Amino acid sequence: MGFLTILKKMRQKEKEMRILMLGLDNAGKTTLLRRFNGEEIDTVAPTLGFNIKTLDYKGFKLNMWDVGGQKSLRSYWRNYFESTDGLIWVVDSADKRRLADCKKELFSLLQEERLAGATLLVFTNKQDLPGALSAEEIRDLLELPKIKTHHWQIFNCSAVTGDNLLPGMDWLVTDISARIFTLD
Amino acid sequence: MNTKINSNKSSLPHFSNIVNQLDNSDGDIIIRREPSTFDTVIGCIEDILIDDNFSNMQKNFLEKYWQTFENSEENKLCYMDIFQEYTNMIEIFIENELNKKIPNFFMQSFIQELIERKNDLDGEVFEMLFTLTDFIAFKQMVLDYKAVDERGANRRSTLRIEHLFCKILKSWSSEYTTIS
Repeated sequence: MGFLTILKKMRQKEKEMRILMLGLDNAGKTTLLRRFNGEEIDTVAPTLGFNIKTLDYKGFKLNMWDVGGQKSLRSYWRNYFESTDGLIWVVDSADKRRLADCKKELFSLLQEERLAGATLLVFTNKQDLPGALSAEEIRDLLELPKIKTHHWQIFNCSAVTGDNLLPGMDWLVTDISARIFTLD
Repeated sequence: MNTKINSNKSSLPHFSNIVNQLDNSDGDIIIRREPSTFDTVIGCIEDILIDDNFSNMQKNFLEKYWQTFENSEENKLCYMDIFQEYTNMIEIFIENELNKKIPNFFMQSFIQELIERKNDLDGEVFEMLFTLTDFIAFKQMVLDYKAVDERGANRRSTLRIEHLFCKILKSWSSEYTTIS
């Protein structure tokens, strides 16, 4: 690792966090990010690259990175791991057919050394859709209780209605700040 | 903290300012350097960053890639590769220049000192170095370069890229503006 990378890692500008949003395609990552940032969500198209937004939230500066989830793009995810404080894994709760794929991708991320220190927030998105599985059902289907390497929590939400986004984000920010900022 | 150097290596760096050498249990030699070296290195980095060679290198890089970038919110995946190439290039350039300027410069020792002083890294040089590692600042720099070109300005003779760079530094963490 070069000295610029090390320097960048050391720069803990007070109360700054880097959050990486990943998940399968069509999970709602970009819609969630826009909703959280108070932007309109009518024109969201499949993400082929990545989006970055810097938001102020409860006294923290959140650098949010949202990377496209299509299968062909997933090999690029690794370019975004460095210095990640929090990982938001977004799940389409109505897409039962791909939950196995979803689980496989999540667990392979959790093996990544550069994500080892990250807090994991799982958002079971699209709760507004009929037939959406609940957070509890998805927790069991994804076998989240097997995760011992990361702090994790799962929250229902709907990016379209905005329901329940804030409790999830609150938990994430609180967990990260407890880990990072109390150590100094 | 100390820097470990494998004593088996024939090219063991020799420092004129070694304070002491200690053998530790696994046979490595621990070399401790005088803190004052740190300020010398920082001063050299400052010189390197304001040198024409540095801005020429940046300019060549922007010339190579500006056409790839678009002024849209979503970023192409290749931007990240280009950004990586950019920071690697700068890192290598700075290290090479330091090797030329400072006899027996040893990067690992410098990195150790950076880590030791992590709570005390203030000042313009560090702001510049942090900016060089910031993707958003990088993208804005490329877009500014592109904007100048697309307006038909005679970029090669009129634009001094260091001005662009300074402008970005000044607008660090605030609204960015394009050069007009």
